[in-house]
Amino acid sequence: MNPEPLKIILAEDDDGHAHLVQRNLERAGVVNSFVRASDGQELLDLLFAEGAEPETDATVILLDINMPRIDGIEALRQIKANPATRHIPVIMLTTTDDPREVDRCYSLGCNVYITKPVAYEAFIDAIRRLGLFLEIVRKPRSGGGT
Amino acid sequence: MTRRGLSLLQKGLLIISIPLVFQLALLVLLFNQQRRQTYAQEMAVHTKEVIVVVDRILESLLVMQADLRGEMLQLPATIEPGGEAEHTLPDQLQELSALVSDNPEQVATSANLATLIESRLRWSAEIHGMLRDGRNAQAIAESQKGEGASLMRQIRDEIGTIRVREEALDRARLAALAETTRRFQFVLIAGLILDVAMAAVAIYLLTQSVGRRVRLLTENVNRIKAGDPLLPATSVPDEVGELDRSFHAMAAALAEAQRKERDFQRTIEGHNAELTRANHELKQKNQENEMFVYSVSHDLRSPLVNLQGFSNELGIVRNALTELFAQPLDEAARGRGLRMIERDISEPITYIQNAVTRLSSIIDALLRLSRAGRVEYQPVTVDLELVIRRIVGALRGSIASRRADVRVQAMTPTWGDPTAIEQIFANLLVNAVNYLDSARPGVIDVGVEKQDDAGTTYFVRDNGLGIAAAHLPKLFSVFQRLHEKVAPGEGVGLALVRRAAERHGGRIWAESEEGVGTTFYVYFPHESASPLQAALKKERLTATSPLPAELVGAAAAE
Repeated sequence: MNPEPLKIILAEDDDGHAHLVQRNLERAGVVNSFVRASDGQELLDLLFAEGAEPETDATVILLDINMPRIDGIEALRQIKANPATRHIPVIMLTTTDDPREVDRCYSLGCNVYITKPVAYEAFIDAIRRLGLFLEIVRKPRSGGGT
Repeated sequence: MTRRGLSLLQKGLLIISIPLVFQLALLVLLFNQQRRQTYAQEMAVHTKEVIVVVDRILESLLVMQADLRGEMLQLPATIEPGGEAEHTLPDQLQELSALVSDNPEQVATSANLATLIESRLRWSAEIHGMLRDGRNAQAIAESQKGEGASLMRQIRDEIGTIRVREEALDRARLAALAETTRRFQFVLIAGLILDVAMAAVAIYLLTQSVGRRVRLLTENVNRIKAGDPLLPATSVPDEVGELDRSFHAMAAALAEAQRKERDFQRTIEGHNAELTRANHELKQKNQENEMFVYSVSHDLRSPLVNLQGFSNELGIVRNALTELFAQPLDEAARGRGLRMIERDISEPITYIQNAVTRLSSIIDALLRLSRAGRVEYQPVTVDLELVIRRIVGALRGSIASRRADVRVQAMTPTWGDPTAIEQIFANLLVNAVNYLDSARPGVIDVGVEKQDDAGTTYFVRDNGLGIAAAHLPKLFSVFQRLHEKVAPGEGVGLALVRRAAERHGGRIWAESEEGVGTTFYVYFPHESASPLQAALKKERLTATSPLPAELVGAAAAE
């Protein structure tokens, strides 16, 4: 059984990367809604905009680390510091696997850390499992029905 | 050694010899006195002898007179009348004249005496002759005339005179002897006292001076031990003085050795500090290099992700097309295929091309950065105002299109490589123009901020977008793009500027407020303080260094 498709918010400054991520997610059919922010500032504007609807339980944020203006680390910090967005799962994406950065991301509360260039099969699989996990944890709150 | 005057031995001998000389003088005095006493005794004996002789003369005369009287009274003569005296008197008179020969007065008196005695003897012989011839009455009458008695009285007087004179002489001599003896005793006692006193003083002085200087020596030795400055050396040229001087020489040598050791220590400490600093710098450089490699690898991998991802996409499209072309193509399938080619192939190709361009430009930037560290500078005095005007002239188009106002103040000339300096200011001015805020009219000021003995600080101030405080530290790092969307670039411009400024011995920094504007400051040292002077040779050498190290060292600026 496929989990319910997720809403993905991608913060990525490289158009090519964004394009590739979107393509692969759509092809795998794990996404029903895809939003792109081109840097950390845009992502935060999106999340904390005046009158923005609170994100649903099925939202996942994909966050690139190296971005101009506000980078992924700072954006992650702000997301995890805000009660309204704290619950949203965050997957960090980056081109390097520098252990210091990995540690920093986990200490700030990111859920998954994936290094680019992505083997998209594994990437999609991770997203899919995350969706499944979200569905399982969501069940008690939706009254036990399927 | 040759400077030494009196040695301690000589001083000691001197101290002994002074009383010795004194004692010798006393001894001479003593001998003299003894000689005088002996003489005095001899003279006393002499006086006695004279007295004895004159007494005997008198006695002989008296015997002779008595015999004569007896003869006159016709008493039997005991002896040959007048015979004995007649024979002894001349001898006795001769003896007397010999005894008194040293005294002219006595000689005269004794001569007188001899004449008188001769007269008396003659008178006596006359009487005697009368008596012998039986002219007793004539003899008695003759003798009663008193001539004999008168002669006898005169003789007695003369003898008395001689006697008194001798006794007076004797007394005078004894008195003189007593006086000299008294004086001699005084001199002897005074001399002895003086002798002892002088010896005591000499010994006191010697021991005092030696003792004082030995104490000084002891003090100096203690001072050497404690490392204190020594008391001044004594100028006394004996063994103690020499020892003292040796101590001073030793202390000086010791101080010199200590000073050298301290200098050495300081040199070592200096070297250590230098090493520590160099080590620290190396560590920092190493960290910068790591950051640089991290940054570069990130920037190189970013296009690689696209290359991999989109070539993968192309693979998927190829599979889809292969599947499509496996069946006979109807109109719908043909349309689908064309759409795939149109969309799913052209798009990845565009991305792949962009990625390749991006990689190429990154590599070009790295090469530029490497060149900035290697290029040989030709430092001269640079007319900055001219340089700025030339840059502004070249930027005329973009300045006009942004309707910006560039105001150049009077610029003092600087000393450096004209190309590098033009590159620095061109970068700053291009940045200032590129990152102006389109919301307000752009104003860019260029001028001299501060000038002192060491160098000159210039500024380039804009009222553009500004830089967030969080990004200021990364400003001069390589591949940092803060306003990526605003203007194209690889993010090496400011890294290059910083590299060039540092090679000039200068510095670059920025102050900025987001939304207000940015001021870049560049500091260049004056010609005299510029490292380019000394570094020219060295840079010729480093120009041949292998590229990676140079590249890393050149660009890892933050």
